[in-house]
Amino acid sequence: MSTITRQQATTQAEIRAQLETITEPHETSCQALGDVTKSNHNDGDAIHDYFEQPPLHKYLAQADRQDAAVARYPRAFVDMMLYTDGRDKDLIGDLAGEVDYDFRDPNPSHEALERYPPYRAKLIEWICDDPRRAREIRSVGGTDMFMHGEPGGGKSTLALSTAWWRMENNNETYIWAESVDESGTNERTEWLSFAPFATIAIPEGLDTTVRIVPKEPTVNEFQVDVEDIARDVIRYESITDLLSQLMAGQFYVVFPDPLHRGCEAVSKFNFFNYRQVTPRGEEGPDRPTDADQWWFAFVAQRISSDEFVHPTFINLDEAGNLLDPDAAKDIHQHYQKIKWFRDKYADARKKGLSFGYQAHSLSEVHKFPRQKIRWRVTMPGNEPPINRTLPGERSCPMNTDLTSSLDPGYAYVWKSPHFAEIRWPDLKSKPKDKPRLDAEVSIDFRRWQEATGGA
Amino acid sequence: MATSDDVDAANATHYRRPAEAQLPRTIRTLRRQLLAGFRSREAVLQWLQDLAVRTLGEVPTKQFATFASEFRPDSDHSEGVILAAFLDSEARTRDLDDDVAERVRQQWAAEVIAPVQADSFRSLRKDAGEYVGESERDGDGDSGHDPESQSIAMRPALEELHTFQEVALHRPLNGGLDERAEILDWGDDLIVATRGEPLGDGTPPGEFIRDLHNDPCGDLLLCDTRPHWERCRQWYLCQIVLPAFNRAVRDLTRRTAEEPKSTDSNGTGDTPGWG
Repeated sequence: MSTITRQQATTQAEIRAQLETITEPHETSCQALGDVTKSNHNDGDAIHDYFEQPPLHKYLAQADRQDAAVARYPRAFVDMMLYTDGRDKDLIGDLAGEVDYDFRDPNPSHEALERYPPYRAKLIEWICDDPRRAREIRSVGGTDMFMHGEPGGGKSTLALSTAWWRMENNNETYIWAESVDESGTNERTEWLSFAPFATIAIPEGLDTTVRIVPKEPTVNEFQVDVEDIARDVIRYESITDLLSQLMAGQFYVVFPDPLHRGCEAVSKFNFFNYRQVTPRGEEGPDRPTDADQWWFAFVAQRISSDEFVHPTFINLDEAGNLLDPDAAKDIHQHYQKIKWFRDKYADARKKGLSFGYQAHSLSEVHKFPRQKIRWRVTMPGNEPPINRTLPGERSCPMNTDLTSSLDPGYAYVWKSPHFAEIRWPDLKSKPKDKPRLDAEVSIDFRRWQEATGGA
Repeated sequence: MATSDDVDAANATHYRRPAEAQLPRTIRTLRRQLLAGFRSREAVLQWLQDLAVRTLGEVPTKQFATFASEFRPDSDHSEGVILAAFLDSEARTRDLDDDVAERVRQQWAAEVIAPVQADSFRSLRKDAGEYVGESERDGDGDSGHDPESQSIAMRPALEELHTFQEVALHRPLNGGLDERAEILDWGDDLIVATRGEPLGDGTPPGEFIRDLHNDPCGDLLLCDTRPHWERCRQWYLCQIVLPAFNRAVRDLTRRTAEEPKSTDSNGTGDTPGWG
């Protein structure tokens, strides 16, 4: 093991061994067993141990001892991270000042908290320990988090930490929305550190392979099955089919369907697949609808159907592509879909749907969703929009540029009137005794080009 | 240390809200003690403990750990400049003019004590006078209401904690413990004095006592009477134990008062890192 961690792998066998180690599945949770009614723990209860981190409540207790803003202003961060429904909020109100939080005691001090999973119970107890804190927990239902920062600024690592915190404290179903380029390849796999917990969801019939491209140039690339890079793989035929397969508290990497199967049945907008493309000059689409737009139909169905109602978080990496500020009012109705997304935001919140957005700058996302997005995170190297009016009568509570020269690993989360500095661990280099993979992982969809109307 | 200020404190019982009237006097007493200088390093530590409890824990906890560096000898085996300035000319080992020392003390009073005054006051404003009237309920004059015997913001619980902390500090400071076995016994004092709050390095007191007891140098650190070990002990107490005392005071005042901290102050602490 130690030789693998210290030196770059130089043979295919070594890289295969690395891959096997880092994707070794976590097998004892009820999600791993495929039955959330079992009494086994949830994945969310095991993630912090896997990454060798303290659970969020202990971190906040430490932040409180140091009088850090992240603990002092719960509306800036904790309110967003903790999913609460009406009942939870009532309970927090009732227990405010009535509990005796002690970070060393794994059990909550009040019996009313015993109905929650252990870490959620402790986080709520920490909140209730100080009545002022309890008053600051205000949001009910889904929340959001819009990170803006340069590439390499830590957005995806923070997004992974968010996945951990939300699964640990909300047992949320976390959906990592992936995308595929025109050639049918996905080269991002930023989620790979979550492989022991991850389920990949891919559209049926697209013939998927995984290419491992070693960093060492003398080693040839090789292929593995998609089953080899995650704990589970599910294939879906339509949006309804995908929703019926989702499990509470599971981490999913979801690839959209370029064929848009079942989209028009659940959405009032146009979705064209390659078979519906008409030659230029004739009436009809001259190219299929972008595969990304499938997400609008997915959100529509998640909100309006009762197929899957468990709190769900959707992480939209490169949100600027889906929520493009230059979206056209063309036959694909991208502009109308974005407007619809804004109008449905309140419904999404009520239905327990939360969103994460990542973009290089705030203006990369259309102003419609920005009118509704409540929490923003300014990453190091970016400037907060000080003294500017933001869409939806929002404003930035910071009056000094605290982020432009901030060190990596720090960021500011804000929602008027509060802001707080946050930090997160480098999950990509954890656990320590596991090697880093000396190769790039690409997922190829061999029939993607056909499906997107390519050659 | 009975002074005319203690008489002042007792006089506070004539006020309607004795706790509020008393606090400024208490802080004035603390400041006067500081400005007058201390006769020994032990007295400085005891005064710091006094500061923690009498400001109701409003002094930032890291202030104590910062001050601990003053106890570290430099290459000439002298204490830090601020500690030297705190000490009388007979007690200090560093060459320092008396008027310089005086100005340093005054500056420290301005930098550290002045800013916490308002916070301390706010933290008791809501329920100042809370326990007055207890005696009427149980009809027994000598239990409960007895403002004249209280000197810390009219809070009997704080007074109690103050005593526990004095005891826990007094034992190692005055000649050290007798032997390693006594570390466990001192641990009992430490638990009540810290209210179980973690020590300066983040360890809970129970584990701290276990580790200290098992440490090969544990007895030197707490029992040895040679001067260099005594000095090491003073540094250790300031670095590790006083921050926990301060947290204990905060813990107690927050639980009894539950008054929100003023949110208009901008000073927040460092955001902790992850593993």
